[in-house]
Amino acid sequence: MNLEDSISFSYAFQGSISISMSLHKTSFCFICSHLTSGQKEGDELRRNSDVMEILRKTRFPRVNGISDESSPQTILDHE
Amino acid sequence: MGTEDIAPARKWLALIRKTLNSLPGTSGECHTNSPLPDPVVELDSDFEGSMRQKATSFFHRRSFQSLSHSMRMDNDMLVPQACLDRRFSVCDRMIFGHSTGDYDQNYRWGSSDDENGDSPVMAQYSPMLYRGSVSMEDRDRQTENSRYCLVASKQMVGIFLTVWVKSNIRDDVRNMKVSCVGRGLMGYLGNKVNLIKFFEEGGLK
Repeated sequence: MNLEDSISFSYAFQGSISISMSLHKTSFCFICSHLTSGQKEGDELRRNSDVMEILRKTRFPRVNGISDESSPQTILDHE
Repeated sequence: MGTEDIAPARKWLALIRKTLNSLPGTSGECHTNSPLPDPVVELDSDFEGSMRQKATSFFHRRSFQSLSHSMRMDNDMLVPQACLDRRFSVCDRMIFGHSTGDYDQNYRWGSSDDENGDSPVMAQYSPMLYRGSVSMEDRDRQTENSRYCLVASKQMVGIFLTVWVKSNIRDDVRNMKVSCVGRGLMGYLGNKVNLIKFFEEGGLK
C-alpha cells in the first residue's frame, strides 16, 4: 500500500455515528453521517453506496448480563 | 491530537445545553449557568468549568463512575455537569484509542467484524445508565435545574452526534449503544492521522 492509495481510499467513504437507545418499549436510532459530497457524475452513486455501507456495517452488539435480548442490532431493526 | 479534537465538541455541548435549558416557557431554569448578561463570558466560564472536571475524569478514567457520582453529591450546580462529564469519558476513550492502537480497528469498533479493543467500552456504557438510578430528590433537583439532559455524545473526526432527552424521562432510556462506521479515514484531519500512522509504522514501502 502506498501513500496515494491510502488518500484516495479515504475519500471513498466518510463515516457515521449511530446511537441506539430504547425508551420504554420503543427503540430509537440516531444517525449522524458524513456522505460523499458533490453533484458530479458518480457522486450520487457514491452517496448511495455510503448509505448502504452505513446500514450494513452499523451494529449494536448485545451486551451480556443486561436484559436487552429484544434490542435491535442493526439500524433497520429499529422502529 | 485527541485533545484538540474534543475542545469544539465540548463547546458545542455547553452551547446546546444552555440553549435547551433556556427555552421560553420554562421559568427559573435559565439560571443554571452564571447570571452574567454577556453570553460569551457565560459560555467561556461554563466551558472552563467542564474543562477542569474533564481533566480529572480523564486521569481517573477507570473510576469515573464513582467520580461523577461523588461530584453529584457535591453541589447543586454540578449536577448537570456531572452528567455531561460522564459521557465525555466514553468519547475520550475512543479518541485516545485512536492515537495509540491500530487506527483502523479502533475506528470501526462498532462494526460486525471487530472483536477486540473497544467492545468493553460498550459493555461499560450500557450498565452505566442503570447505575444512573439517582435518588428521588436527586432526580427532582435535576429536573428543576435543567429540562434536558445529555444521554449520549460521540465524536469522530468530522462528525459529532449528541442525544438529549428530557430530564424526567432520563431514567427510562435503556440499552444505550453507540456504533461508528468509518472505512478509510474521514475528512481533512483523517488524512493527516493516516499519514502520521504511516510514518509511525516505519514509513512507506
